[in-house]
Amino acid sequence: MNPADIASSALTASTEVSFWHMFWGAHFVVKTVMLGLLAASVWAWAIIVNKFLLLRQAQVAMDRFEESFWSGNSLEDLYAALANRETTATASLFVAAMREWKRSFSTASSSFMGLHARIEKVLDVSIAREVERLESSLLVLASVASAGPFVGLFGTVWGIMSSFRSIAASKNTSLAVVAPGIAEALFATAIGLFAAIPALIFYNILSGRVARSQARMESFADEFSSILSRQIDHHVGRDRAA
Amino acid sequence: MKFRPSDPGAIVSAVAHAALLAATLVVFSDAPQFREAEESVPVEVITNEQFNQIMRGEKTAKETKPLPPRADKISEQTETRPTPVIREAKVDTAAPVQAGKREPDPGQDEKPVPAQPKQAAPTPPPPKAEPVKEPPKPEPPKDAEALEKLKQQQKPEPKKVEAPIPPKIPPRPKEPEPPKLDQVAKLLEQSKDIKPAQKAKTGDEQAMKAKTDPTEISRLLSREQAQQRASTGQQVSQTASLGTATANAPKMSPSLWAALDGLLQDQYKQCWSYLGMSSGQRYIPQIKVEYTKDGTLVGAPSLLNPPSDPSLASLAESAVRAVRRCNPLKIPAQYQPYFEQWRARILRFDPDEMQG
Repeated sequence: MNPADIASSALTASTEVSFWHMFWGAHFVVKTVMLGLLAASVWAWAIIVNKFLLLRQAQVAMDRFEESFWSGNSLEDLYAALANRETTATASLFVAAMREWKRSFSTASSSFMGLHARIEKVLDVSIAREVERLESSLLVLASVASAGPFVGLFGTVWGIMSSFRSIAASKNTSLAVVAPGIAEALFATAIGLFAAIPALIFYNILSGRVARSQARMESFADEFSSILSRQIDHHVGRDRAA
Repeated sequence: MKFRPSDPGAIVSAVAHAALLAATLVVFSDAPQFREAEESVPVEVITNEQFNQIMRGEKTAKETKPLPPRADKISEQTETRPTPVIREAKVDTAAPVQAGKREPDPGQDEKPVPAQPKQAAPTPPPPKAEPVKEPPKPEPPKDAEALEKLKQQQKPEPKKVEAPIPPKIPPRPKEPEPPKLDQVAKLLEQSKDIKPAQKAKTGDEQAMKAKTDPTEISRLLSREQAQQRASTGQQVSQTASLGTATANAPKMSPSLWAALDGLLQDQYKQCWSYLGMSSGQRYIPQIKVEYTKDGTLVGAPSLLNPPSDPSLASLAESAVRAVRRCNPLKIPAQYQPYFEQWRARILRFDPDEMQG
């Protein structure tokens, strides 16, 4: 064979190095890894966007509710306004506690004995439910952040392995022959890191904001339960007096 | 995770990823190629005059012996010639090839060897026969004059006969070629049969096979673009340039330099008048001057090192004045050929030396 032909064929083979060619030239396993990581990245970013919107929404709702709660209006009116609406965060705590309170009063045998404990329980359950709503699927971000690089590394190792096997088969060790295979393989790790780095950063940010919201709800629950317990004591004293 | 229509995250994320992918496909569509690595070659910076000097050359320069191949760098590894082992293998393969002519048995390898001398032998006789045939031709004429003429003709004739012989000899050995081609074909066929037996005999066969490995060929082919490379050798070539044949640029000898320096010094001494007290500081004004061929100044003389001490300014000025006063400098005709070398000079006016 003419040496010029060999040189030109080697050149044309090595010029196709775009991302698309890198992807199509990759081994089946590496291709699967790449697609999986890309899907993970899409999912992670979807969660990030949704969580940001949800947390912003919860923040605004809590601000608005606390404003109206501490405005001095009667709790009955506030309850009447919120009871039939879908509520979030502190508002839902308030509604759950007030419902329990109303239920205790509406029944004929109105027992104040266990009412405070019941309200505490209801508040705890509501907090747990709200927090669960806020931090749901944050674990997906944590998983992508921790597993992404490993999955990408697996693709890289597989790709390098297969490119070494093709070296052994073709008995040609020139860098122009080896480089495309290794570039494909490294592309898998690049996608893994591309998915994992934002996932890790936003997992930390979002879990911090969820923890802050949780702390805010707990402090509100404590305050509200103390207000209700004062009301209970007041009622009990009046009953005794009567 | 539930994909609720109220959650725009999935759509936003998918769109963003698609856009990013498209962007990367566009931006990274073509990988930047490395620039050609250029090997550095040591260079020297030379002035115009030096270049002229080299180009014109020095006719009287001592001629140096031609050194072995030119080398710009000292080679890091010495190249060794093909090892004799390979040649031995060739000899081994050649012998069985001829044995195959008659019988495939490798045992009769030596028979064809005597056959070659036989082919070579027939060539010498014909030239002998030719001179014998030609003399008889002149004999038939019986006249004495004719004989004499013939003798004269004969004298050149043998020369003519001898002359064509040498050219004839080379073509004759070519005659056995056609049979050789046939033989080669036969031998190639037979050598196939023989090879298995040979393998057991010598390990050199395997060495030969290893040499013709196709991967070796691709390795030997250079994929690099042809470019100027510094040739390497045992030692760097240091041959003086003999220049072009039409020009001459002789160098001034040290004695000529000394004589010229003395001449200039004498002339400037007469022009220089400086009656300053020699202060503690030692200051030697240096003046750069440029001459024409007849010794006149070109441009104004420039003081290279103006004094930091104002009290020394007068000394510097006096030196510049001396240069101006001596303006048409008398330069003997013998220095004309070396004009390029003394054209620009730096004069140093040492007060101690000048007054002493």
